[in-house]
Amino acid sequence: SVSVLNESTCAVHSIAFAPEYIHLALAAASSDGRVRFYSPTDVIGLTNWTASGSIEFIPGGASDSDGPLCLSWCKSRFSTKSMIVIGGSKRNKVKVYQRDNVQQWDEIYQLDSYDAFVLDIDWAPSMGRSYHLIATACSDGHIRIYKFWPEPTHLSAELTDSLFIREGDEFDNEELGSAPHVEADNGGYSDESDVDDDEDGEDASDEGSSDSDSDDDSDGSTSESGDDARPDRPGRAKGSGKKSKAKDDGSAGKAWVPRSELVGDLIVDPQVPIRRVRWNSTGTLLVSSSDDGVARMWKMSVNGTWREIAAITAEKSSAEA
Amino acid sequence: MQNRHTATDRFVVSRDKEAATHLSPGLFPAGRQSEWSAQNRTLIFSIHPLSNKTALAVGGKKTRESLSNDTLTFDQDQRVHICGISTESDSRLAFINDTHAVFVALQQLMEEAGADDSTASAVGIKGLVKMSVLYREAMQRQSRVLADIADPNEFIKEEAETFRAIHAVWHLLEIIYLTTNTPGLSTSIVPHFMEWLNANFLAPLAEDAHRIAGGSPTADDLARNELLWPYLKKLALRGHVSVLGNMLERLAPSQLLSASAARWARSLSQLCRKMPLSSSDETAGSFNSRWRQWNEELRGHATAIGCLLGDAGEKDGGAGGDKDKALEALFAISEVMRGDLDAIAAEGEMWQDIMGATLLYSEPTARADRLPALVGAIIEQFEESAFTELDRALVALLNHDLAEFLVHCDHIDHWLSAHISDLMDHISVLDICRRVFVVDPREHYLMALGESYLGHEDLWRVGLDYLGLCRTVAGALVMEEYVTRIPLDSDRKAEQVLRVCEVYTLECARDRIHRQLGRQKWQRGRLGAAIAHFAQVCDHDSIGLICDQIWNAYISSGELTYGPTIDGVMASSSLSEGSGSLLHHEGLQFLSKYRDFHELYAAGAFVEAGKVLLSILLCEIAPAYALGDLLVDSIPLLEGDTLVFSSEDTFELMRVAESLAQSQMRQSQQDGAIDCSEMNIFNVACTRNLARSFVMF
Repeated sequence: SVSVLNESTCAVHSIAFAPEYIHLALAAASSDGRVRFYSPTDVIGLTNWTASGSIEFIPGGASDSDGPLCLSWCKSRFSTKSMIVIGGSKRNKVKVYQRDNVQQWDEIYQLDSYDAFVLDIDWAPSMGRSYHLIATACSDGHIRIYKFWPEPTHLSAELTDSLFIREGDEFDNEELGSAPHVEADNGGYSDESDVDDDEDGEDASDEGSSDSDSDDDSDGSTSESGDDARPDRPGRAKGSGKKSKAKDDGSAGKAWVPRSELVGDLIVDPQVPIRRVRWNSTGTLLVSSSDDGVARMWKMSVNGTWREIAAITAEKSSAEA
Repeated sequence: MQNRHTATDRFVVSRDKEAATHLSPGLFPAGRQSEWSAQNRTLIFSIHPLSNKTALAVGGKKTRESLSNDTLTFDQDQRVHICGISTESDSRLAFINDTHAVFVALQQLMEEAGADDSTASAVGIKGLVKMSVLYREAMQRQSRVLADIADPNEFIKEEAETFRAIHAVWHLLEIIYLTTNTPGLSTSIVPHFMEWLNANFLAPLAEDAHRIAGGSPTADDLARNELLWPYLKKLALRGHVSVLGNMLERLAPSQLLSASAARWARSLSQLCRKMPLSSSDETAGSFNSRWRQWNEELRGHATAIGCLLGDAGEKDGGAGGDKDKALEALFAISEVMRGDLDAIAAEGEMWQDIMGATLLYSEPTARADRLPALVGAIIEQFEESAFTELDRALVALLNHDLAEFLVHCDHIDHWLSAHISDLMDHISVLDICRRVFVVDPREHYLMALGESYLGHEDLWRVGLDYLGLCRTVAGALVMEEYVTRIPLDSDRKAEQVLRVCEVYTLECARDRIHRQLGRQKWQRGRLGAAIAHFAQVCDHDSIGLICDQIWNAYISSGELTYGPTIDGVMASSSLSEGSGSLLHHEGLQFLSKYRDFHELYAAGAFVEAGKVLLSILLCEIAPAYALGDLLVDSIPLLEGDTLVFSSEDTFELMRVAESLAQSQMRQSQQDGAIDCSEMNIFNVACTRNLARSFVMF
């Protein structure tokens, strides 16, 4: 072994190297509720690593019964600051942290919180999309996929569109008011979560409850969901941010609030926990594996809905002896 | 909070429809998954960086320490399976390559057309029609190849079906959006639609025609043949009017027909010959009036036959089944040709038949915009749940519902959705869809197709092209990501990959690949090639390290063998532009000159050798560790019979020796350390040479 890092006194559940665009660093989440960051002092020999910051994900510490932590770095080259998403904790929240300077990590957003353990999380490579994709795997058999915008989208896929608004435009009022499901709620989210972790009465949302229209079946007639999507989200539906506008960074007025949107809720079997989710190298394919020994591959269709395209089971087929 | 969920797509995997692939051999017995899971087992995986292959294995949930010592382990726990979604079969390779060439040509054509505005629209449509035809020819070739396979298995049969569907869809799109928009041709869609119908949905089949009309049967044979009337009706539905006319003519003399049936058969056959055909010279008005005339005559016929039938029905029994059948059939045929929608609906088996006959006989000059109205009425009569994907795609296309059309195309085949969305984009009809979908459909489908080819050893280049020709930011980034992951198995493949980087100006990727190749070749000892790669990315440090290695090899072996390597490098650098900087690299210049020195010395040209040696020292291109050796090399020249070095030259040598000694003292470094005894010899040689040079000059 080259080096042993033993600052953590509890079991380490999840480790990940930072993406290659950032300097060499390692994040390790352990069951005392902390995520520790390490960097090597000697980049060639890698024998000496120092702890360079940590995040107290569960204030006040945690025990093994609080469930494992999982983490994933943001792999985008184009983010101004490095980000990491961490899931887990007593109330199974998923939060995004951003590094301001070398040692300091700040929570910038709470993505969601659940009634079940978050077992795995993965941040997709962004590949020119103006939004980020994050997938979470839970023990309630759900795989949830979120779009996440940490910053104003001034990098658009359609470079001909100007996304900067002049001073005095009624952008903020209009957009924050009209986009019904995202802005106001998530504005509320980040405020509340900053205040107090204990105040989760509102936060523990009715996730998984029946208010969403569930498609009965995966009957390929996607025109219906396409139709549904159309009137509800005129500009929001297009992730490229073609119609959405962002405030110029330098201008005075409302500060940009990170926001997210749940775009896919994939249910296999509520009794079977999903253990692992991973994106492929371009974020176009999501693979999941669960306790029933089945690995599934999911892809986004052209109207934004996620569908299973393949499943591989470790179970012996009945034809086999 | 309520609102947040209503807009979310919630997808539930339906257990019944799940057709999972089983690992072979499986990891646990069928039906025992909860047991397996309870024994601290779960499935873990890792995704291949390039293709969509996945490695699967058994993983644990709790740490080993927390389990008791007597937990069992099985062999299956230690296996790793590698699985992947199947990539394209070999039977499609030729098709994929052909259509890829057409695709690339199409993109180029549209780029050129776009650049020159004046001819854009003119070149555009004709060029697009040409390209569309090329695509269809490739599809037809593939269909023929598949049909020629003797004893086809299930897969081949499905492929044949798929290609028939692809061709049908493509052809219809071409007719609606291209052919009828070509300037100079008539804009009526009817003749094209009939052509499409008969080309893609053969009916009546050639076998039927052969069975009935083959072997020159007599009129009686024909009349006796039970398959005759259905065949004639199909001919009528499909607009094969001249064949119908001929058949009726041949049938008419039959003794088995009643007199009236024979009369009407002849009469109908004459009418068939008189059916007006549209031509591009004729105005719509004149054609319409001819049509109306013809239609009137038909109506007269139909009414008359109808009356006859009515009379015959009143009489009891009458002349027998056959004659009635003949008359009834003639009545049906004339009703169909008159354009009676009920008759057409009664006779048609497929909705396409009904659509075709309706267009041909009731609206012969209809344009594409009439299609949605017609198809809506026809589809109502059919059970939509029995429709195939092809049916749905065609109906959506006829309804001009392009978004729905694309979705169904994707269900038919991914090749189809990618290429047809590209064609639609060039025809400028894709923008409507862009407003409906969350992502740009052309980019989405092209990228999906490209990614699926990347893992294939023969199609990776094609896949990269699809990604690159998306011409979007995302496509370029994905391409750059993948191009660095293509395994560089051979020099030729590496060259191909680099060529791709050049064509699409992927600078970062090109950089990485050159460095990777440079390192690979360095490790394998191909130093010249390694230097060439590093030169492409201007990595002088690495080149320097390689030069050091060459020098050390020479020092340890005592033989100068690197000559050809250096020559090769210098020769290639003078040819290629990018590595012109090679010629200026100090390390290479040093090695080159030192080799020259050796050669001159070996040839006995001591004075020239001395000059070269001195120039190496004066230009200061030699690395520090080599200085000592160079000075030692100068000793024989100093001591030799011929005077090689003048006094100034000798002073230079001594200056170099002195600065070397000083730096050694300062840093006490061992590099270039010159032996004390050698130093003495050198000093003595210098002194003697000085003395000689003073005397001589």
